[in-house]
Amino acid sequence: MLDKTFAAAIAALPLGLVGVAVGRIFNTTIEGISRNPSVRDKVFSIAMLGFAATEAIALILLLVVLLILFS
Amino acid sequence: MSKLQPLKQFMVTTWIPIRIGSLDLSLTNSAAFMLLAVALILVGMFLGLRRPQIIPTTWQAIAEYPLAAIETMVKETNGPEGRPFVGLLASVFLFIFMGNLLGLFPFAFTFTSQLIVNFTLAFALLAVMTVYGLVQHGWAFLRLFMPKGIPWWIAPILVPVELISYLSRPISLSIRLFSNMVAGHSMLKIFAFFTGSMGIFGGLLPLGVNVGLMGFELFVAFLQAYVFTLLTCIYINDALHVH
Repeated sequence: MLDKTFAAAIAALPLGLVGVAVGRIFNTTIEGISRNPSVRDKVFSIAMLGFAATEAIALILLLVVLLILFS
Repeated sequence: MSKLQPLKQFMVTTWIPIRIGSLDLSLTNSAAFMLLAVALILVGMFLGLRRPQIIPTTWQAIAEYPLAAIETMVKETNGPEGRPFVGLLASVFLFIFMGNLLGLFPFAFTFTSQLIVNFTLAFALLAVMTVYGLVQHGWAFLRLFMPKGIPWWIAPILVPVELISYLSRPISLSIRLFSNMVAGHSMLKIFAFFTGSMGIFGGLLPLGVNVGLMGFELFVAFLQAYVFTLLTCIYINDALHVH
């Protein structure tokens, strides 16, 4: 029972936290823009940077799961 | 019935085998698409900036726009000392963006989905930054790893952590780009397989998902190139102004 598939399933669990983090990035971005609409361009590029960095964590986790399953 | 092999599209195949002595300099599909990307960028820039005028023509505006955007980005993060790096960063951005875009065409090969390609780019940029920082600041460059004003007893813990974090920058840059490309294109291939294997009406839903996913991949192609360049700008700022 404690084989590769189980390990891959456990390794995929932290993706929930990454989802929460991505949601929080855009939450604060939208709130910041709604308070002060003139900062939209500056804040948006920083938000995209944060989103890509967080997404990188999710995809590195995907890489780890694939490594567990297929090697 | 054909099998689902999502990772077969990332195999590097040789198109024209060229051996010089014991060196293997063959033209692979990866190399051919790299040459195509560079050729497209050069043709676009040449056509646009051949006879520049004060009030730009359409093609001149298209060719100037990414260069102006990257110069703004470099000036915002680095200040005026970052100006020598604009050409390098514009080349990196356009190369990665064109590579990501070319992979979205049918039967094309994404050379940014090869980890070694991304790692070579990121490592070369790290070498440039480190050498530039060492030449400009001398030994004071090593203040990057031990900032002033920290207590002496933290140093044996802080310096290795900072060193590892510095050396893991090219790794994180390259793995971010590599895994985005591999995951995106694998998903496209998987949904395309479902489109083909579920009949005419059953295949409409995966087709719709694929259409949306292709749009998302266009966005990711631009975003990953932009993030690579922006993070490199920030790291160059570290090397130019040591903290």
